[in-house]
Amino acid sequence: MKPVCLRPKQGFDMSPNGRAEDIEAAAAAWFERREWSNWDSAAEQALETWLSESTAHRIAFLRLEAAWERAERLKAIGAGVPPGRVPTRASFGFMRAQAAIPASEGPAMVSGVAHDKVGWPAGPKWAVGFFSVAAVLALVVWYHTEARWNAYGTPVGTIAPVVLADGSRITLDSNTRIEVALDTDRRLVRLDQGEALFDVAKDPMRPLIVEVADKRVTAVGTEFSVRRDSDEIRVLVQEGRIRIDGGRGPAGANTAEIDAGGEASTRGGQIAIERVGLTEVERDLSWREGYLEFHETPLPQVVAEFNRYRVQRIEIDDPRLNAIRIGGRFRCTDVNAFLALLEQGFPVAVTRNGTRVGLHRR
Amino acid sequence: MFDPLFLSILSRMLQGLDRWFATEVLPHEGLLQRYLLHVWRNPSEVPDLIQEVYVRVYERARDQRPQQPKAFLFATARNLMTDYLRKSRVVSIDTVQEVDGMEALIDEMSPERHASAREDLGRLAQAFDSLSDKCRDVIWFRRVEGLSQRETADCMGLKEDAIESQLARGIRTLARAVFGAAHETGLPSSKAGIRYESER
Repeated sequence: MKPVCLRPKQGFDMSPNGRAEDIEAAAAAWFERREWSNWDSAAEQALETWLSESTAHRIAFLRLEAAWERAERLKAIGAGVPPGRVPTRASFGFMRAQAAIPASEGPAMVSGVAHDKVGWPAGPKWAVGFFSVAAVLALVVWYHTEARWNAYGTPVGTIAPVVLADGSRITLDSNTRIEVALDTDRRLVRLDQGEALFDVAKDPMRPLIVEVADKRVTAVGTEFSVRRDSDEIRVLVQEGRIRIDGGRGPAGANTAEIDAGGEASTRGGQIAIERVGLTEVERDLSWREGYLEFHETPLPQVVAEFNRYRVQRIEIDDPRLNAIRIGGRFRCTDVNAFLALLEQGFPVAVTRNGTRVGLHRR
Repeated sequence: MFDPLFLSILSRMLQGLDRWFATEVLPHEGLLQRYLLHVWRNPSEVPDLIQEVYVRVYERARDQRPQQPKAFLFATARNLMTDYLRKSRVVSIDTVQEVDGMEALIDEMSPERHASAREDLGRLAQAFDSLSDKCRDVIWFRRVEGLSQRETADCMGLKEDAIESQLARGIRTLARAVFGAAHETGLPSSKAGIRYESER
């Protein structure tokens, strides 16, 4: 091997785009500033300008954004830590201990960490340790010792996908819980709470059935979402066709089929079918990309949507505000942009008392 | 390399080319960094090299996405080094071929090939723990509890400007942990005789 020096001569311009270190620092400053309460459209414009100045700027910024998304996993490490408290450094020690456990432990699952024959033992220490492992996937997965059901859930503020062994993808919205059993003749999912989007792998011999409250939604290969609020449900179909049938009355008595662009919702157990169109379905499903989208939506409904992603709720303290209608697209977790818009565009004052957010009339 | 769940979460947050870059290119940053540290004499220049490689890859991908992003990334890195070295007139074409051979070696030894999601989390937690108290609190409230900057300051009993630059500092550290993987594992050290270094 001929020894050679891989070193450019002195003075050679290594970084025609500017020094990486400086650009990263600038990107980080923008990244932070965007979250300040005094962020406005002028600042937004300045950021856009900075981003468009060079590809290096854009990359540095998107890299931090991607890392921030990734850092969401810290959330699950903190399971069991009450809101408003930061875990001590020592509290991650258990996690390093966990890392020594071979990854092959437990039954093989496409997604999720399963603990076979362990059940759900009492004792906070064990529970915290378990959460830390599950946290790896930003999902809580546990195993029923006696049954073939697997459960998956998301904490408030987290959206997470689940990939089933058949290739179907389920995206769980904030604060959602499902149970899944894959049988040879059918695929069963129970939606216990929240909202889930199903991208069903085609398998005509094995329909996928979502049981929600006393209704069943059946699909062969399609994309649709099911949302549950208490015992009322709402189904949106983006692709293909699904069948929904209710639990009351004889089998088949309360059955409806819905095509792409259709919506089924229940009130008091009765199913109402509406053709809302693909545009609206897309809009209502934008949460899967981390966004909430509204179109002339009443304020209470908008606030309720944001609250699905928050532990500390926003509350409307003056009923006169209920008449306000909101349009626009917001990041689920960025309530600030929304509150800023409210204050700018409407006679609304936002008060923050500790972590409680109240909306008043100005 | 990274688990599919992480990649799919990412893919929902960023759009188009940015999304592609974040899911197909950035996860190789740790490997790229170690590769460059290995073949490039001056380690302090490696961050700038990586930046240039990224710029080239991104701009090329704007026209057409490479079928094999990882191979394209390393080919770009090699070309960049070749360009630099040609301009500096220090290197021979033989060396570049040697550099070629390095890739397979590094790939084999790449810890990422076996890195589990759990290890990724460990690295993240370690980076999180390495932050100063204030910075760590800010990251926690913002990222984990989803509080705004102002709510975070309230929670910490501080004014908003008292936590200025903490988030910026924290995210840089976390990004290095997530993509940079600057920890020392897997690669033979220069003692193994692979590093190209001599007077000439």
